[in-house]
Amino acid sequence: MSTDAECAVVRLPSVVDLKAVGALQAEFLAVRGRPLDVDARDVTRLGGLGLQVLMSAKSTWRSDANDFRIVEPSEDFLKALQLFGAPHLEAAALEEPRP
Amino acid sequence: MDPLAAIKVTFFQECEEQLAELESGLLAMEAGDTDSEIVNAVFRAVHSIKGGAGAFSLEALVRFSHVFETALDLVRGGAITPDQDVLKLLLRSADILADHVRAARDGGEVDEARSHAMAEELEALAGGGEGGGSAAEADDGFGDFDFKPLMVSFDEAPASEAPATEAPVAEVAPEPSGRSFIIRFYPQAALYQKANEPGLLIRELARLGEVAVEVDGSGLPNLAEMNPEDAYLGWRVTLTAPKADIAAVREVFEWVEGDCYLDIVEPAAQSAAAATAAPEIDATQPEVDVMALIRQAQEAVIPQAAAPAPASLEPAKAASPDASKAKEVALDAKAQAATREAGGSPQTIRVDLERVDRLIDLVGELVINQAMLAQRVAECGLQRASSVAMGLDDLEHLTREIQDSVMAIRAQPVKSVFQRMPRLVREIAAMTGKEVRLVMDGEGTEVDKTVIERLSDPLTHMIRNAIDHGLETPEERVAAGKPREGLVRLAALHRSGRIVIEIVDDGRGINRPKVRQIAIDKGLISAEANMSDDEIDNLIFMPGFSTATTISDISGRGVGMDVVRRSIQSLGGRITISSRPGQGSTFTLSLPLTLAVLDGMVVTVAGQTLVAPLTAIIESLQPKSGDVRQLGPNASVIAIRDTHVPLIDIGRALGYRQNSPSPTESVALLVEGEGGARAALLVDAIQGQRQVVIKSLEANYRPVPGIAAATILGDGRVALILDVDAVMVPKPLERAASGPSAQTELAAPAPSLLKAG
Repeated sequence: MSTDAECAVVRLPSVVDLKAVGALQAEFLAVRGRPLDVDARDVTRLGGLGLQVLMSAKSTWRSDANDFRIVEPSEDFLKALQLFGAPHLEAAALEEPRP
Repeated sequence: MDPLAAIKVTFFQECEEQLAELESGLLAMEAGDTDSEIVNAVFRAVHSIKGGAGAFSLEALVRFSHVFETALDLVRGGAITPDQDVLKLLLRSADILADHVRAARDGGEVDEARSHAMAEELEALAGGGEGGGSAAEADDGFGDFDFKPLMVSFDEAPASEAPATEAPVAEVAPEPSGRSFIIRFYPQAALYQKANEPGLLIRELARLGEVAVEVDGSGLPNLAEMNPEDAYLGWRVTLTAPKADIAAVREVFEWVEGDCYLDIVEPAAQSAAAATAAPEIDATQPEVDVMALIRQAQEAVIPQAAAPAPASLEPAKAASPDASKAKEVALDAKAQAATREAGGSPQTIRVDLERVDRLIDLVGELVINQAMLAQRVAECGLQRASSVAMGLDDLEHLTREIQDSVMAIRAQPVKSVFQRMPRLVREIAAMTGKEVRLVMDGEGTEVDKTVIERLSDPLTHMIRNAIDHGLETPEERVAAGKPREGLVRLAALHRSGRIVIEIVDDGRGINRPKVRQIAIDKGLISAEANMSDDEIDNLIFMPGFSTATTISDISGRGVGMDVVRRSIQSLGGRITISSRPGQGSTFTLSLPLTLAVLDGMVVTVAGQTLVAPLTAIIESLQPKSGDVRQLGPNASVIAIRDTHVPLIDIGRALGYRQNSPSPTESVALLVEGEGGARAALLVDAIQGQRQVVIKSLEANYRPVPGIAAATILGDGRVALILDVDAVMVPKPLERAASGPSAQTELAAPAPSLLKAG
């Protein structure tokens, strides 16, 4: 499930909450149609709205038949996924980084 | 007002409530109450303030409440023991938090140095706590969250599809070790806008026991179609908690309940109940997703943005193919509502005060109108037993009830004023180096809102005085054989249709020789004046009197007890003092419950109809010729039993006439002024007692000396309400001092021009 297009990288901000999600959605949509690596190394706080943007993005990428991965997740980011009961995103996060 | 500003106003109103909750909780803890409920309430108060402040980007408030919350969380978690020192710190922090809230609301500034120092103290306290996660840390990234997930397999469903059929409720067997709950909650956008987070709620649930969390993304749209600030996710949490009950679970959602769809089920209890009480529910029927049903119903009935109402779940019956299940949901929703009701938090609405005042005004008009109608009917000579007159009696009864009910809307517990006092006491105690315990009684006593608002300053001043002047230093107290800690008691109670507020201290009492000497030095009384203890005590109410030899920061702010007395009097109240040397002083305020109506004695003076407040009148009598003695050309006294009191002709005092009629042909009203001084007011005749609706003379005309307000009588005429204290000729003390005559001041106006047309 990959395309030839160049992989885009979106780096999540430190706090992914109400204030951040609008920009994040726009950033994702700007690279739609390309495989995407979401860099979560800076995340210290992931809110419910941040989670839903990530989940929606993942399913949108999947329906577009493009790769969607979360790379270099921070500890806090993984803890938040665990807390939210979102293991599928966690799985996406734990995937090996693209070579 | 734009919607955001309106929400902000509500936020600050809620902040005041949370601050009150915070303070009363901390005080209860200080008094030794270790109930975890109280600790939780204290934490929640700060957490809620922080949440709202975050939504409005009130950075300073967020910063301070964040630090405060961290410390409280450690107290709540048991990492910090709330001993007296810790509680003192927390109480002072509550004061600073209140400053921040008010600064954010009113645009003022907080004492940054003080706030910063307090934040550092809190941080030091929190740093000293033994491990454990904190809410603040969790806010910053769910940092030390001690969470042991019991992961349930979650097969991600495509966003456009409904999730796989939920595990049937009954199949989630409760752990033998404890009770089990299934909690489904679907946040609404408002939850996020108020800076609440589902993660924190889940974390709170995890405090109760072991949790398994599943996110439901079945409502998630495609990324391009989603509004990122809207809420699409829901959570299903299975909680196994040995000790928790459903109330504890519900409490986690207490302050987001209006902002999320919530369903809490205890399968064990439900299946037991179903087995015994609900045979009509077919247990073999395949389960359906309850929340999906709710959503269906909601989509059918309410727009996305509308607040959820349990009743709106009802249409699920029609929308669902499974009516019995929908019924169950609806019943559960009703049960939730019932639980909330039974939980005791009364339902309230916020109403603009202007609207209430308008209603009160209108009801006042209704009362007047009803009285006018009754008078017209009486003038027609109808029998009292006639159906019209009896109908009017019913109308009067109803009108009174409406009036009482409307007045009750404005009535508020004095708690809103009392709750400011603990902080005041702490601050003054700290400034004076005295140890003070404040005891408050009767905070629930209700009185008109206007009275409450205007009570704050006098009470503040009197409490200041009680500590600054009344209480001794700890050393002096010990030397006098008293406990180091002084006691100040603030109590409110209803007595004879008035509210009585007492400020009692167990300090040194009024130093009468000193008070007397000061009064002499300041020329307030003559050195020879022979005065009773009571009269000496009352000297402190004289204008310009101050017993402090140096002006202190605390009570010496240019406001004396005379100002206190005047403000109480302007509320139609009176203030009295009793003091015992070495044992303390008691100040007693007596105030009317409302400023909108007045029980009055309607009297005739020089052809005018006047109203004398009934509360001031002790008795009425017909003077006998031997009882009245002339004192000079303008003054006379009347003997009433074994004492003489000044006899004042109201007609002359108000400038209605130059010459007084013969007292024996008049009626005397024995009245008591605010200072306890008595006088007899001479009127021509008494018409009767009546409750009158007070109309402000200041607002409708201008202040008139000797007149407190006006009212409209049944015949449509304006009657003036006497200001008894103002018409009383100078009290004996003042006469002894300088002898200014109030009469010269009162003679000028001609209130008769107010007669209604």
